[in-house]
Amino acid sequence: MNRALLRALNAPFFVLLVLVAVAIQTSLFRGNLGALFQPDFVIVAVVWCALRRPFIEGSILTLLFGELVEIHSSAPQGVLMLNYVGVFLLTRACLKLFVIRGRRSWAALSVVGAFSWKLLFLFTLYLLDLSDNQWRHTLTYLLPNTLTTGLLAWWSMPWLERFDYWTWKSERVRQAIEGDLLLSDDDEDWS
Amino acid sequence: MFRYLREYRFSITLLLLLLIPVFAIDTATRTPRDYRFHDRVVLFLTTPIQTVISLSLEQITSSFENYIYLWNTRKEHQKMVEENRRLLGKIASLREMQQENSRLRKLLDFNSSHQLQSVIARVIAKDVSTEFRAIRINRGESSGIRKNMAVITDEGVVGRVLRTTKTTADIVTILDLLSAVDAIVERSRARGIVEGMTDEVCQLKFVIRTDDIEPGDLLITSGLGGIFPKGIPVGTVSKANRKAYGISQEVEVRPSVDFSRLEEVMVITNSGAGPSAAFTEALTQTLGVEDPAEGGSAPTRPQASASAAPSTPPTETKQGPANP
Repeated sequence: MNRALLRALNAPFFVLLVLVAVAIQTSLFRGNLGALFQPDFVIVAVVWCALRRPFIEGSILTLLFGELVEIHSSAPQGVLMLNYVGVFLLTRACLKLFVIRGRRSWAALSVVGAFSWKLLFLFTLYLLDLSDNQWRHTLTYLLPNTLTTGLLAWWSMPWLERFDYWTWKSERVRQAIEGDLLLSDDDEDWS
Repeated sequence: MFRYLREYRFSITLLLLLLIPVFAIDTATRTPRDYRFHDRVVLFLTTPIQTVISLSLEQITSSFENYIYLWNTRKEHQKMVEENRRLLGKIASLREMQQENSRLRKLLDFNSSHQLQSVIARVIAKDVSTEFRAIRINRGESSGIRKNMAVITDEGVVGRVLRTTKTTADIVTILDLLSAVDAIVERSRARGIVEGMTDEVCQLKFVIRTDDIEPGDLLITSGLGGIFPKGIPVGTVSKANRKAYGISQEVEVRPSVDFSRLEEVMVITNSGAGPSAAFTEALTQTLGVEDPAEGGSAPTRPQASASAAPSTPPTETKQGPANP
């Protein structure tokens, strides 16, 4: 009973955690210097979803995170969400191609995710005709933002794993994820 | 049916995953977004955290600055005394100019008066992305703040209110990619639209190549658009690049407001920036329309009018990006 309850609470708690992280991100990193070294908490959460959640659950959580982030931004609706979806899919693709195991791999994956997010974002802005000289700004922030996101992932992902352990994201789900990675898409074990 | 759903669930999820944000973008370009119920719930949860972190951060920063920079106080004091003397002289000359201005206004029977009513608010958060540059303040609808109100500081224009809750308001700063403010060069009266570019610089768009603009020129609000009162400093021209061909020139503007140190702002709740009653009446008689915002418009340059035609508040800001 307890297991089932904790497992059911995993996703809401995770969303709440991301919400608090976004609040910290928006208030702690004010000012130009702060913005330069601002890690993207949501990228870490999205990469974690791609790593440790089944495809459908991860997709829903990613869309939800995108929506939460857009409440705290003046960006046109859907733009940030689209880019987080891009990072989610990219991470899933990386999982199919590479062996991702351990803290360093997670951090590296987050760096790749943050890097691609910036480039994807620039491309989306270009498509929306909003990228006037924006590339200069994005390139300035690209490396510091990406690296701090990697550092954050390196520090926080073991905690996220512990959080999953405490809230009983069961072995069955883990097997489902592995099945999804290794076998074809019509694997039966989607939870 | 269920068998098909089960069989193609990966493809269906993938399709939905891509379609939902794209659909959201498409709808956002047509109607400006406002807070919905669930947005307000999220903000109800995050605003206290943001407020606590902001206040703590300010306390720590100010204590640090007070302590570390104490040794510099004497030098600062001397500098301030000199500055004070200079400012007193400037105030005296401004008073003289104000009197002269008031006499001229009386002569011209100009009855427009800028009675600025404002609300002071504290900045509690910034935009979550580094590419868009909105800020959040700790005052909202309960303090009389509404959408599209002008936000300024003693240094100049900050931006306009994007959306509000009872206790908070989001401000689109002039550095934001979606911001557009109609401005004129104080010296030459050349006109253009100030749009956001980076964290420190804006660009002045739609300026005709032959317009006289030099680095160091001060840009002020034109008063068109009905959001900002006329004459508020927007920024200083930092770079003007006039090419040998083309119809416009590239002008970079450094905002008057230091956004990296922005802590308190003033929201103008009643600016009187819109057209005066006499002007509206005269225009109604001349054009035979009810609302000058709908039928009449002051002469504007064709390029500028696309993004900042006068009279209606939303015209001062881009309504959304072009369709992807």
